[in-house]
Amino acid sequence: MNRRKFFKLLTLGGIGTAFSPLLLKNLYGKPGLPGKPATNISDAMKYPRTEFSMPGKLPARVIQVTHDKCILENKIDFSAADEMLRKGMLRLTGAGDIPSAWQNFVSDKDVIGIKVNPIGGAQLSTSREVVKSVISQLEEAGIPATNIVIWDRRMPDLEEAGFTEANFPGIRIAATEFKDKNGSFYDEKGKLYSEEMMDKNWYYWADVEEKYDAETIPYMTNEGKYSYFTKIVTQQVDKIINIPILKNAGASITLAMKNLAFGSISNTSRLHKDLWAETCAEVCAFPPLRDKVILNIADGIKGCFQGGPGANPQFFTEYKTILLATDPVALDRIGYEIVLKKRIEEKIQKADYPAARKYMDLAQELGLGTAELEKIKLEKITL
Amino acid sequence: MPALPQTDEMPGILPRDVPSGKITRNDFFDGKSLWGYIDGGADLYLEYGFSRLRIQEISFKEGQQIKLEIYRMKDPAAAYGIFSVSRFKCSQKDSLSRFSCISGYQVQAACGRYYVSAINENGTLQEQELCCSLVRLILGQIKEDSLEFPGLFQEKVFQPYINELKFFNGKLGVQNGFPAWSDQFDRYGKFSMYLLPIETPSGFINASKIKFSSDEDMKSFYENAGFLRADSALCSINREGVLKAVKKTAPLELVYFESNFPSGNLQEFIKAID
Repeated sequence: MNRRKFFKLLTLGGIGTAFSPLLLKNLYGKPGLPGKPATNISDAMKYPRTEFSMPGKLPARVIQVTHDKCILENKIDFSAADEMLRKGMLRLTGAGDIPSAWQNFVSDKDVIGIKVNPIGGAQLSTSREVVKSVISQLEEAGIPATNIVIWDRRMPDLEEAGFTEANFPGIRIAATEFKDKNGSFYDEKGKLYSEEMMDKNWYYWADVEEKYDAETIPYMTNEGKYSYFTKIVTQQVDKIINIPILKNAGASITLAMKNLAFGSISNTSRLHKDLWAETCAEVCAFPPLRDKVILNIADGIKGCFQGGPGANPQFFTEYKTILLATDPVALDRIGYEIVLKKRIEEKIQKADYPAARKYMDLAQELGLGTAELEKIKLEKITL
Repeated sequence: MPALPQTDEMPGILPRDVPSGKITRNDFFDGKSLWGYIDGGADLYLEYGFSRLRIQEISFKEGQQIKLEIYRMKDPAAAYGIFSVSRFKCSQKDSLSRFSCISGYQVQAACGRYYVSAINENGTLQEQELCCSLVRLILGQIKEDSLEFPGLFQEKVFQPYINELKFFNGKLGVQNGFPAWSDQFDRYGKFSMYLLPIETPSGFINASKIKFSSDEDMKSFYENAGFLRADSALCSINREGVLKAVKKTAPLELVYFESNFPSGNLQEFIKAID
C-alpha cells in the first residue's frame, strides 16, 4: 500500500478500530505536563510507527558540512551550496553516487513536499540556492519536477522569500493560506480559502484558546482549541524534505521541529505563550509529519543568533554550514549548539540555558529522535 | 517636511520624499494581525503592547531596496523596550534621536510610542545613508515625548552605562534581552522591569527596578532570590562571591541588584540604590 492510500484509508476509517479516526475524539481529560494545559498528544501515540517514522533511517546521526566560500558579500554561491549538499548526502547515506543517495529516501512515484521557512523575507529565509540544489539532485535521481512541491503556510511569505514559479519553473508552489488575484483571503461566498485547505480529521487539540479579530483571523484560519493540519501534509504529499533555516528563538532555536510543527497547523498563535515547546515536539508526533518527513536539511549558510525568528540584520551571521539528518531532534540539538556557541561569543548569554532545549527533550520522550548530545554521532566535512 | 500625522494616522514616507525612488509596498498590520507578518516574532511585540505597524518598501533607481517598519506601541516604554532588546553593535548610538542605533544593515530608533527600523540588503555606506535619511524623515513627523528613565537610572554613577539600559514587559523580553535571568522570571505572568547590565574588568553589576502584578509574585521573587521577606530597608546577602541586594520601593515594586564586584567598588552603586 502506498502512503497516500494509507492516509486516505485512515481518513476514511478503513483500517479498523485501532486506526479509526474516531479515536481522535478522545482523552481530553488527560492532564498536561505539570502546570501545562492538556493536549491530545496521547492520540498521536496510538498510531503504529512505520519504517519511515521519525527519527527515520539514520537515528542520532548528523552530518555537518561547512564551506568557507559558500557565501560572499551576502550572496550565496549556488555551486558551493550544491557541493555541500552532495558531499553531505553521500556521507549520510554511504551511497556511491547522488542518485543512489536520494533514492534511499524517495522514488519517482512519490509526491515530495519541500518544507521551507520563508518567514524572514528575502533576507533571512531558507535560501533559494539550497532548495535549488535539492531539486536539481532530486531530478538527477529521477524524480520528475511535477512531483515536487515547495510549500509553507503562507503564500505571501513564500513570494517575498523568492519561492515563486518564476524562480522555480515547473515546480508547484503551495501554501495553506493564500490570497486571490484581488488580494483577498476570502472567496466570493465569504469563506476563507485556507479553511478548505484544513484537514479536520487531523488536529492538535490543546486546552488554550485565543479570540481573534477580523484582521487576525485570515492568518489563523480558525479560533478555539483545535489546530488542524493542512491538507498539504495529510493529502497532497507522500514524503517531506524539511529545509529550515538556522535561527535563534530567544535562547532556543527555530529549526527542524518548529518549522514542521508551526508550519503545518492552523490557529497557532494561542500555542506560543504556554505551549511553545510542547507544540514543537507534539505536533511532529502525529503521523502526517512523523511518518512523512524523511530528511531534514538545515540551511545554516546564513542565519541569526539573536532577534529571531524575526529578521533583524544586526544579528545575522554566516554560519557557512549545512546540517543533514533523518533525525530532526538530533539535527536540532546540533543546530542549537552552533547557535549557542555564537551567542556566547557575542556575549548574548554566558552559558547554556537548559530550559531552551526543553522541546528537544520532549521530542526524545516521544520517540522522535535523540536530544542527548553525547548520544549523537556528528560527522563534520570541511570543504 | 511632511505634515504631522493625525492621531490615528501613522508616520510614513510619501512619494515626494523619495524622488529617486518608488514606494513599492505600503501595508498596515493592527493588533494581533501582526502574527500574519512575523508569526512567532509577533509575541514579543504583543507582550510589550503593540498597536499598529506600517511597512513601506522603497526601491531606488540605483537598485537599492529599503524596508521601513514603523511600529506604534502602547506607550513610550514599550517602544523603548523593543529598541533596547533589538539594538546591537551600533556604529553610532543616539545620533538620530535620543534613542537610535546605526549599524551596517539596519538603522533603528525609538521616539515617543514609535519604534522605527530601516533595513537594507547589502550594508553599503550608501544604503546605510538612505536608511538614515528615511528614519530621520519619520522621526521628524513624530511629535511625542520619549521615555524618561526611572530616577534610579538617572543617578550619576549609572550614566557611563545608561545606553545599555533595557526595559522588559514580561518573560519574552527577558528571554530575548537578558537570557541569564530567564530562569528567575519565566515563572511570572506579568511584570515589568528596567535592567542595567554593567560589565567592567572588575566584574559585573546587574541593577534592576521591577514591578510585579501581585503580592504573591513579589513574595515568590524574594524567596527565590534567597531573602526572607520584602522590606523597605536595603537587605543584602552574599553567596559564592555574588552580592544580592533588594529594597522594596512601593507596594509591588522593588529595586534588585546583584554583583560580583569587590566590596570597595560597590559603595557608589549601593548608595545610589539606597
